[in-house]
Amino acid sequence: MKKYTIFFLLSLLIAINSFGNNKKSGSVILDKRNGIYWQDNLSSQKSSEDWDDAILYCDQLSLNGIKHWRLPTFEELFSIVDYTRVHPAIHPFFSFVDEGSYWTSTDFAATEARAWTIDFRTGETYYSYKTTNHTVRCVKNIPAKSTKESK
Amino acid sequence: MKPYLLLLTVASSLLFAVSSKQDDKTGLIWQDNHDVLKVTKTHAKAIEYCQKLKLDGFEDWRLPTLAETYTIVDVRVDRPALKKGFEVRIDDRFWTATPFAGNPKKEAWRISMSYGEAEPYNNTRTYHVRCVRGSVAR
Repeated sequence: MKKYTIFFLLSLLIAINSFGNNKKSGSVILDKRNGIYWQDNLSSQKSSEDWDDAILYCDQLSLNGIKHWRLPTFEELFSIVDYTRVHPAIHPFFSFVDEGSYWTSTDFAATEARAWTIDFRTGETYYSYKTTNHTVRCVKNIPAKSTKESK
Repeated sequence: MKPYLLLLTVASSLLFAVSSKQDDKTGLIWQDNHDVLKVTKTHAKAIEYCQKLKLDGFEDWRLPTLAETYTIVDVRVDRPALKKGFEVRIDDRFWTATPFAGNPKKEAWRISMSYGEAEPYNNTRTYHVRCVRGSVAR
């Protein structure tokens, strides 16, 4: 009996999730806890940039009328890792995910030649040379006014 | 907690060096004594060690999850990549309670306090342990 209840709940969750995906307003995810928007479109799966270009890419990004994005910090990117799953290890509300490493804005402490990355195949964290190409998912601070409204 | 125990805890923390440290931001209380330096365990033994730990009058210690461990990691510093305020600062690997979802029976997440990097590793390996108590305040 318990098994069927779980199965029912699970299928309900999947249904809600796919509904959410369709409803998703043009590739931007609202993250109230961190006070930021997340980019979630095909580019956040297919992009491949070195660290300098990743910063430039985010700054030039315009999405849903929102301009001047930035790279997430290590802590911000870590907060969307889902360690209860792998391939990909990301919270299920994201739709466009590359099974590889993503850039963060956080410099590596031991040398400025490296910055922190998180690999969304498993959630492994690593310091990569800035000249390496990785996927980019930009964020944007929610303006103070709309944070207030959403509460 | 019984009143006399509370009194004893307060008195002992005033009289002797305290073996744990509360993180003001998360509310979590972390083991911070010589054993953190000395003790290394396999993953299963690390879980057991924290469950059996009696420290500063408390018995509700547990092995921290990966996310909890990252609340005391500062990747902007290194060797160790540990936030300020801890007495025991070692540049070595620690177990977390988080099993590796890709191979949960055989691997768990370890974190290296050299730089703060995390990777899943064979749970028969022995690493350091820093137990925690309480829950993250939101």
